[in-house]
Amino acid sequence: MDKLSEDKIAEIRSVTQVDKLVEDLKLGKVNGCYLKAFRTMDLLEKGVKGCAWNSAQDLISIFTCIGDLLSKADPIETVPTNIVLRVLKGIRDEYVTASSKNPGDKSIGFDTEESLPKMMISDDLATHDYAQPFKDLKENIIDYLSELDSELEASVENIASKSLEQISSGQVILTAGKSKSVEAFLKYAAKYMTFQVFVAESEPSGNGTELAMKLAEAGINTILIPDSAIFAIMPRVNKVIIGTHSVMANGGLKAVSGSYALAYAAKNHSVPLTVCTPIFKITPNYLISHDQVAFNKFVSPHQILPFHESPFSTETEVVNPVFDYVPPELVNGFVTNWGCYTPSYVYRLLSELYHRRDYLS
Amino acid sequence: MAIVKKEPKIREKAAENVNKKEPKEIKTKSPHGGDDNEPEIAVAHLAPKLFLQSYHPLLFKVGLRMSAGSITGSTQRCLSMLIAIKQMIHDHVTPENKDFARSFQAALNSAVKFLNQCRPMSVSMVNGIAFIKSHLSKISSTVPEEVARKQMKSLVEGFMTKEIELAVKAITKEGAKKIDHDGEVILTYGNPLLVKNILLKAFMDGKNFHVIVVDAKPRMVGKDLMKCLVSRGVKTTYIQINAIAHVMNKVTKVFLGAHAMLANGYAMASIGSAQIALVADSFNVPVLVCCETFKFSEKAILDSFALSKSGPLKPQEDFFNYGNTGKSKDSKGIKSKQDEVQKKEKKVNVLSLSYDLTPPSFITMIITEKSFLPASSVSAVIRNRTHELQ
Repeated sequence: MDKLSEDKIAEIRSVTQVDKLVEDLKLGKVNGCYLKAFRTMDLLEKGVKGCAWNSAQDLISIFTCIGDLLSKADPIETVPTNIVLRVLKGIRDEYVTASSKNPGDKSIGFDTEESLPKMMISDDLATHDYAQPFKDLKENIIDYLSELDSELEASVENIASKSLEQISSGQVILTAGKSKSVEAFLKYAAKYMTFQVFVAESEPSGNGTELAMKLAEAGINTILIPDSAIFAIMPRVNKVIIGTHSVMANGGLKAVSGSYALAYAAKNHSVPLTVCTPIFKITPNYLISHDQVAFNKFVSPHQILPFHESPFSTETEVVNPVFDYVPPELVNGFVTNWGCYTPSYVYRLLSELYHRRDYLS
Repeated sequence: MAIVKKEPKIREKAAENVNKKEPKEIKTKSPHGGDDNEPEIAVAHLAPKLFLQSYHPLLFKVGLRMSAGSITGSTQRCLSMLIAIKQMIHDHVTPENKDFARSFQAALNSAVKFLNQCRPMSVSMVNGIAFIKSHLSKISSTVPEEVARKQMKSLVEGFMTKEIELAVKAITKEGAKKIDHDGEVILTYGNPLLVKNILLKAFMDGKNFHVIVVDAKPRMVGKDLMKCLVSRGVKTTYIQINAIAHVMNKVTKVFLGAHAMLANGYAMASIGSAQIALVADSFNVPVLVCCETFKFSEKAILDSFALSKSGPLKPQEDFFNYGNTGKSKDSKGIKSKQDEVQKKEKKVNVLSLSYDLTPPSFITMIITEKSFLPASSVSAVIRNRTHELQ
């Protein structure tokens, strides 16, 4: 991909106001993955409408630039990058559709479906340069964006509506942390049946307490437990349902810290673990080594050991990681807004969601 | 290195626990904070029963302190009970036409009943009582009272010295040898007495190691261990239980304390220990459980819920205190938020277990004063002990 000129980058910045989102991401002002997704979508819509571009190629480089800026803002955060990748794939698909409609084009009859032999030949990489301008491409892309927008908006309900297949009456569910998807999932099921929910507090953030209160308000029989009791109550639990920060390309999770112990305890007691996640949390990233330092995020130790407890706070090393890596073999399934999948299928979803050229560069 | 206060010996600490005067100590420990009559409230339901019978004042004191949670730890609880019982033996008045052993047996039974009401007795206490009872029943009625009294007192004294003090010493010595190569990273959970002793001993011996102290709600006692280690200059990392998977790949050994070892090889330890052992097992890190043999129990429990009633009587408010740290700083805001939290508290149930069970498959070995044992040998030790008592 050619590098954009300084002027072009300045134009992108002023039109899309990407810096505002970058700043908010850096300061941690954007709470929740859905909000992050919507703000990114907003930005991209502005980009399509406001920036000057002729061909799909131009637009792709504009969006790649935005994606770079966003991923640099917070390298741990995957949702904005995923959304950008998703839109890039959309643009490429629209281009291919448009070009196949145009007679005389060299790639007539090009099949958008990917298949294993084609991956090997990588015919698409060689033939498409996305440089040809088409009249109605812009319109089509804007349509695509609004479609995607409505998909995002409906994703919570879509996940929630699948709860009836997952939970049955009288079961005991264990969850941890706070997740919008899990909350909606359990609340939806509670309309049709009664069950009991154990919520682990998820210290030091204590997010679980918030979730427990929300569930209790909705009339669900909710029991709050300290994180230390996870192993002790596991024999009583029928199903573990958790949310996640992102789903790695191998089907593993980057989830709130403490999830590894939770997932492993579930495995140890043969309790199935289901993950509720919107599809945009699937990231093409892998965890390369089990040394989690680059993968994790570390926040202030103040939550664990207050600063005023000196001299201990200065003489002690205090570690406060935000995430845990949960390997795919501890996950039994994903409930997404597209449907239910196993970890081994995530790689396939990846190629449906994103274009290889965008994330392999 | 600053000069630090020497840790009191366990016996002295137990004596201090029993004899300390100020009731304030109990109040500050009680989590409600500020409320009056906290200890009385905690045992209010016992009041009618308490005054039907007269108990020895020292026993009464010990019982109430256990119920309020100011005497904790199974070794400390057992020791303070034994101190009280020794005093009971000393002060026991044998009714006319009865012999000492039989009448004291009755007093002991009611004492056990009382202690159980205060807080279900720990395995260590149960074993201590079993020891006393078995010897009491061996005293024949022909033995003069003063001789029997003296004999019993020295037996209790012997139990405290041999089974508890010397055991702690032996485990400290042997356990410290297990920190054997340079730069070891030891992970421990909570504030177990034996592990603390082992770490301090190893440090005194000039060994180079790093300690990771794990802490978790509801007890949050790991901080005390961390402070103790840091003040002596031991390299220490302090984490909460959620971060164990993150640090476990650096750990070379896990040391855990135990409330009791059960006959089926399960370790009954403060809640969270099983989770630590589980994660350690998944990272192939050896788990060493430190436990004196007087804490071996012939019970064979499989479910942590069977232990749910063994905690101290304590109001469970900790989960909801986050309302106090909310954004609104003015007192009114905090007040209304607290009310709100309290309203919701009624809907959310809180489960607070004190102990959990660690399966033997996660336990590499048990460090006892007898030797290093596999978890499967617990029943053999128990069999040996019951044989001795008969």
